[in-house]
Amino acid sequence: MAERIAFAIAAAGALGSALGVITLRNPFKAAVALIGTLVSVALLFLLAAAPFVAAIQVIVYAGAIVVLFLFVIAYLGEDPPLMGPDRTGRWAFVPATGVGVAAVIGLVALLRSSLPGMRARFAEASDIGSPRAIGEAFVDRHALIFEATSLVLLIAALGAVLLARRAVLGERGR
Amino acid sequence: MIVHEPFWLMLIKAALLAFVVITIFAYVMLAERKLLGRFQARYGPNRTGLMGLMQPLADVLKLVFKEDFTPRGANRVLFHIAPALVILTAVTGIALIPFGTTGEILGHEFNMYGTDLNVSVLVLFALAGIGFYGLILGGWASGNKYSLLGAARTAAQLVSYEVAMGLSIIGVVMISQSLSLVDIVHGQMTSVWYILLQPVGFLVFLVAAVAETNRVPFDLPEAESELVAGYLTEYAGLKFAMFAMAEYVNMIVLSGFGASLFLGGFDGPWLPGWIWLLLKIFVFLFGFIWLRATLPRLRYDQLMRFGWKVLLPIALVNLVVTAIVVGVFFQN
Repeated sequence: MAERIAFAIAAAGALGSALGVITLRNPFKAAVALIGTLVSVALLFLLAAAPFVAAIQVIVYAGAIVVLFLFVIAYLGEDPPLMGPDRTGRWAFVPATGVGVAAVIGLVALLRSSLPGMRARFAEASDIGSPRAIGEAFVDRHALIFEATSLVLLIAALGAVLLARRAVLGERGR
Repeated sequence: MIVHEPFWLMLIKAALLAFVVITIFAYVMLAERKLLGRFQARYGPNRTGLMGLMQPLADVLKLVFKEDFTPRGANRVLFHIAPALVILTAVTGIALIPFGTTGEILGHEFNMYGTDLNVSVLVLFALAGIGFYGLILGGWASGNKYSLLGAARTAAQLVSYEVAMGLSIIGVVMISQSLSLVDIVHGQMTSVWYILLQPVGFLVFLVAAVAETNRVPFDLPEAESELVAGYLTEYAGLKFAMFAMAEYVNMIVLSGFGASLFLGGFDGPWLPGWIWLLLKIFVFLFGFIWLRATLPRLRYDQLMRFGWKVLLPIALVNLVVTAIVVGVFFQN
């Protein structure tokens, strides 16, 4: 029972703050709502018995990445974002209705489906979220993919450094 | 080893821990003022009560009666949430610091720590990560340029030094083969204190801890000679007190964290474990205060250069060497 209440709170928090991310006009507030989403999802991970994933979710996404978002947004200032005039006019209800209809269809399809947990009970998941399980998955079973991913990330970081360097050099030249 | 506790016992423990950490905070603040006085060849507060021992109470009373002020142009919601966020994450951290193994009270056995998770170390980092937002949001929501600059500096500084701190701790985690603080302390009780095995990691941890708590010489986010008071500028009364309190509670929690990781936590002869841990925490806190009395503030570019070009490489080399040694010589 307590788990269901915690799940309801976390799920409602994730949905509510995600709604805030896409509807809030002020980019700073939208980024703050994104923190809410990330922390709520971390709670859901915790409920799924994956404490390691939950902690990493908060440390990496909420603790580092969104901090950088806020840093950039705060420095760019309060000016309204560049947005053209609203050209949809009286046809604005069309996309809104479309999204609403799609949501209803999706919900009905989900409720009528036979995905695990909808009809039958959940199968007991094996240990996938503890530090040991994740370590084994990374360096034993999927070592090659893990290393390949780290190479891709390294290349991305190097690329960012090179691009920034070009911009800095260009500024000095002027 | 781990005792199952009834729910009411957990509640009492939680309240007790919060009470203890807040009391320690009050007297750490007084100790800081008195010690700073001595360092500067003066007495420090000694008028309120015996030897000035009532000074924290007087400070709180004064702050309670200050006007609760919200500046025009501030974002009201975030301005009010920020101090609460900071204090919440700071006080929660104390639950993860182990004060001993088990104790007994009124015939009920209980664990001498708030909670033991198999990812305690990571949860402390996660709490710190959320706590940063209090400073950043507070600075931004104040609607003041000095506050905003303070918030931006906070973001850059904390993200930089959090990396070095994380890397300095992984060495200990590799040696103890656990992310649970209780297991890490037990590992030190059966071998040696990890400061002997990880001296470099300990030094990196110390520097990063000072930077993470925004203490001198890393108090750039509130550098009063250039930013008024940084993110604190527009805060007054109890909200100001909450930020100050969070800074000190973070110091206490980080000291307990460092003592558990490197100095054997509650391990020690003759005296009960929790006394040992408190003694070790006070050694750390004295170091914090001593630094404040001794060092001037760094310049911002010095801070960034030191963090990324000195501290981070040292931590990385330490990590690689530790990994090789543990991997080659200690394969269980």
